[in-house]
Amino acid sequence: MSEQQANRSVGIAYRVTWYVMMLVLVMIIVIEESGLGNSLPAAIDRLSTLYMALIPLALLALAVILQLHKARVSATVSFILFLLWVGLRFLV
Amino acid sequence: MVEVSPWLIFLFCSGVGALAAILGLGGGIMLVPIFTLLLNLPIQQAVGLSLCCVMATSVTATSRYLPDGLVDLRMVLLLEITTIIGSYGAAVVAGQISPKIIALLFAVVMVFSAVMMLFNKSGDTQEDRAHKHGVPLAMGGSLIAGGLVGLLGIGGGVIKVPILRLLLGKTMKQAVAASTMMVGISAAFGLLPYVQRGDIQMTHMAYASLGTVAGAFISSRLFHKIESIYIKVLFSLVLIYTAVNMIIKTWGGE
Repeated sequence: MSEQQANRSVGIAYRVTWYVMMLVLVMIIVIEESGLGNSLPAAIDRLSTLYMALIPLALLALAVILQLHKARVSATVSFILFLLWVGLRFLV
Repeated sequence: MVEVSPWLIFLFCSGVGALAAILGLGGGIMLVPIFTLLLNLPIQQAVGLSLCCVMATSVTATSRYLPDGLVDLRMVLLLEITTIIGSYGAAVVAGQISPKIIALLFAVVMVFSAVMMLFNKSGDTQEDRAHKHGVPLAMGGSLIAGGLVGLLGIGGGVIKVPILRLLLGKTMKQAVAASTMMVGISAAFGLLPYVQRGDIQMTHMAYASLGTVAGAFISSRLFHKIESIYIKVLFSLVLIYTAVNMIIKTWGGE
């Protein structure tokens, strides 16, 4: 498959990431403004972690998409970057 | 942790997002001075919040650039290897560096950005050919650009775009698209040390990020990108004035 098709597929992945990002941000603000922020601090914490993880998750999606498009080197680099983020976030 | 109304953060970030979309910028260069000079946030907190906004604007813009085929994914991922090292490393070091030094560095980058904006050619011509040692040089340059992302919370486009154009022979549009995607990834890594140190209030992160995207979204639909030299000159002067103010505020008490 062509590079153009790969870009389109990755574009869709990024678009989905954008929608999830907006949803997460709105949810954090709604929880905070409704006064539930103090009683549900874990919810805010998890949503914030999800927000920070969205780009690495997009990298994981990118790795899968690029692998499907036979761009193996880029897919591997993308997957390594995802693993690196996970390592730095949860292990360091 | 300094207490600031989250809606005030939202308001300022919306304004920055709107202005950044009009001027074709990322916004980080405006956010950090606003957070520190107007909202009196410590510079580390300001940088962390700015990185959150940079991530949001990067995803927003990249989702538009990718389907147009403007992003060279292979190049972006390759350069990201060193950019991430720079970004994460600088963000770790930022916790040990005096805020005064960070403010001084930020002021220098602001003046540099202002000069670049004044003398930048916006033409979209392809450079003749990529530099002979383009890729290794670009990876080295990306390390520095990543350092700016992690340390100062700015997009680093002021370094990345010339690198992509002059060393890798990309057109202006391709360079901007690649730089925009790269900055989101490096900001995601640079943000980690700020979160781990507890520099950022999580709720502020949401208000700042949503504010920036909302401002950029509305302004990109209401106004066209302004090419007028007068606006750019005015903005450059504001940047220089803010840089001077930043130095006076952080170093004036000596």
